[in-house]
Amino acid sequence: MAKLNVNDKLEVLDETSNKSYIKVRTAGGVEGWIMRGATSEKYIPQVGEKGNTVSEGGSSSAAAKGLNSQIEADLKKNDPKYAERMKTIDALEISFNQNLGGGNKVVARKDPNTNYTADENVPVDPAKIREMFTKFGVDGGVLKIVP
Amino acid sequence: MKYLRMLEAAILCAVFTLSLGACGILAAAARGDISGVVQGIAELSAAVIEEVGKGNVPKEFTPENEYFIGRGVSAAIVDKYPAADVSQTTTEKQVIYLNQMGCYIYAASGEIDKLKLGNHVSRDDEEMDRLKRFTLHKDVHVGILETDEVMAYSTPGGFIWISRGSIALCENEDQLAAIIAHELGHVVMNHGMDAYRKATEGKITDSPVFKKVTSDLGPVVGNFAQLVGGFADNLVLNGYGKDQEFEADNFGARALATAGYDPKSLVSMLKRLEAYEKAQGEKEGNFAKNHPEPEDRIEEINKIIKDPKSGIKTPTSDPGKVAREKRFKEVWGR
Repeated sequence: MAKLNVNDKLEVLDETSNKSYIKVRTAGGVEGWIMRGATSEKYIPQVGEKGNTVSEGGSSSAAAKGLNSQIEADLKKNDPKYAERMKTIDALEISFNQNLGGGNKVVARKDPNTNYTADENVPVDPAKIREMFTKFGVDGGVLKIVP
Repeated sequence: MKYLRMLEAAILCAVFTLSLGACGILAAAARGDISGVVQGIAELSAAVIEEVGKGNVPKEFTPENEYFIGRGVSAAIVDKYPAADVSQTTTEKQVIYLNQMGCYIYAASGEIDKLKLGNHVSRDDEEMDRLKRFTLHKDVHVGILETDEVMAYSTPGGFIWISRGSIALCENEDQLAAIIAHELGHVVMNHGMDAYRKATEGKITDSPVFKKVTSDLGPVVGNFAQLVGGFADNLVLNGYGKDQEFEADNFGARALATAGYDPKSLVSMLKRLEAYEKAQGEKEGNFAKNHPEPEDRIEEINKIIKDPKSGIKTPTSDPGKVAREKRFKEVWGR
């Protein structure tokens, strides 16, 4: 067993055998398994270190304006890794839409204060999805509201 | 040869002295909580904090903005913990089930009067008004993370990520519904975006956590994708505040009740978590500092359920129990 500190450098020995853990070797030669999420490929500057202030990169400006589909598209175009990760999110949404009839504003919440506005660029099938979650409630014997 | 950097101090389990299982136990103990984690949203604010000073950051974010922020956060999450592959038939069936449940509980939760959720989180009139107008750009989306760690994340825009470890901890559908209802509480009560707004308004910039976050973000703001990844590094280490966890529990118990589930299933889920944590040993790290203990949460939820003024009704009979057990077994194989 070895105690590791922030920014300790670890040699990766096996990152494919397990989804949650990777096998590593410390500079001192100790081998073991560590959570994948506790590591980074980047050096993380600590408070007080030179160069750790927030810069004025173009992306921070973009983020400041709020993300939208155009900004996301630009990011994917400029960063293949980001685009690749986004495919996973897309896959989830596509599966949802194909199987459950998703789209914008299709879950009608009974909140009179809510101001619904539809996005016309996204297919909407409110009847299908309402039928879907109503059926889920009925089948499970828990439905108390009728949407 | 590939090298990585440690994001946090940790104990490395020597491969010859401890099994992988023991490592998993330590890891889970360090992070073990089913509650949502979107404190990292505040980290995003670090990158735009200077833009705020220039007046470039809108105070109002549209549901579309929140949705795309949620997608970005989700992309960072699945970068750290692989998402279950929905192209696999079994997984797709599981994800469909979770999304049906998420949409159903979300729809039912529309009946909840947010003003009656207690005083866990103080909000000014502007924030309350924003909360009343809350809506999602799209539906609730629930995904599965392929990790045995016990965790669940929620992001702005209605994305919920539940780990295999959390699902395995559930004995039945009602407990799974409790996790989703709690996470929906974070979504509907807009905790993620609240953190974002507070950060951009400079309200939390003096906090030690935020200073660390700002520090961590420094080198990666040149590219937004890296930025998201950068704050995701801290995402799993810092959850919501204790007040927000209590509020999400309050909401979750009510949402379960309006959806027809027994709100006590949230208590039974937390007891499972509590027993799990005790079995793993003491919790460690920032996560534990930011989160209330399960026993405190259980006490709070029981108070709410038993309070006649809360309006929460627990079902006196459960005619659908057999049907839910059947479909739970069909989906999860147990």
